[in-house]
Amino acid sequence: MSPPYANIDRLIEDIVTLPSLPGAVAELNATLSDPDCSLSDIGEVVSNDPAIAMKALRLVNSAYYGLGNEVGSVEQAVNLLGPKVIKNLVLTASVFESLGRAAEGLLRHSVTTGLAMRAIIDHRGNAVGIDADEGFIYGLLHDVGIIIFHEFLPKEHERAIQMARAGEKPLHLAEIEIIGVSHAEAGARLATTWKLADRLSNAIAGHHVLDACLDRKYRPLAAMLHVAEYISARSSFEPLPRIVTDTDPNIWEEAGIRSQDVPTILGRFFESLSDTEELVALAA
Amino acid sequence: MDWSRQGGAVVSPARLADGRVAKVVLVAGRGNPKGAMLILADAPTAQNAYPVSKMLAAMHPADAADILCMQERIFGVAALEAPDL
Repeated sequence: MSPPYANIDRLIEDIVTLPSLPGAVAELNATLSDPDCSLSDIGEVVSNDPAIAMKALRLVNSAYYGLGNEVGSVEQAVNLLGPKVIKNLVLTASVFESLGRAAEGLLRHSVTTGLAMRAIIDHRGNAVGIDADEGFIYGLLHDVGIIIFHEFLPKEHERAIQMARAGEKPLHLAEIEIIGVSHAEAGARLATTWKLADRLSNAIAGHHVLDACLDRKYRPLAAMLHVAEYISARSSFEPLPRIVTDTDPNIWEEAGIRSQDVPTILGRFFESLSDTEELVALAA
Repeated sequence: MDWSRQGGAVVSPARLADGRVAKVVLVAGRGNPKGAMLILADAPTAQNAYPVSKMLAAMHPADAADILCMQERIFGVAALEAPDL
């Protein structure tokens, strides 16, 4: 029997209403694209969305940012961190707001994949065009397609989970067989709908199958995201059966990670795990 | 990798990048250079043990990650969930 949805467009047309981009992110993007915008303009945009502003303040005062002195207002945060960090901060806070619907295990997996991605980007330096905080967002969002399936196709997704649990095939392939679309594709579509960077939607699309990257130049980022998810799962944060498949050597090579790099990356990752519970609580 | 307990150690067979078969033995945390050892048959009757940290170049990076994650779950300080072995 063929799956009910031939492609992502059909799925969205028929059944899924993707959540809209949180207003603060859209407004902030528009404000930052204005060359005349001031720091107070940025602060005002963030303050206009109290839920996001509160989460952003909790985040900026968390151990993850490790600033030392408590930041008491959005204006203070903007002055202290600058526009680029604030943009990442607001996007992270918005993603946490959206992830609040996720099961706790999936949330913990997303946070730890973000921490692993941050450790990888830290190690690779500027070679990949994103900084470590952006890398954390990649990890946070990589499985957002699963939240969409849980919400709109719970029975179908449960069947895919059972298929994966029985060892018949990895979860993303079971989803394609039963739903017609994988969580990677659904998540990439959400990122596109939110007008997030092409490289982010490509990385999400290709984090299980690199060939799913529409633009080949983003394959290294997708490979890194795959490795980050692998590290999270091997460290006990695997919320669903066979959500992570074994990796082939080409993926690690494409990610630019050699065996000799692994202890440094994992050392950073293990040290950052103490931030996990505080970050998970931010989504609640 | 296929991990199991042997007394106080945790072991798994491993295949090196060049195809040689080895055995990984975990006995202590990352802080101990000999906490993770690779047992390799260098000759038909001779087995030698090497610290995993010295053999990384011969290993697949996924196996290296698997070994270090398992070592952290068993002996580490990051309070990861222990595996059901």
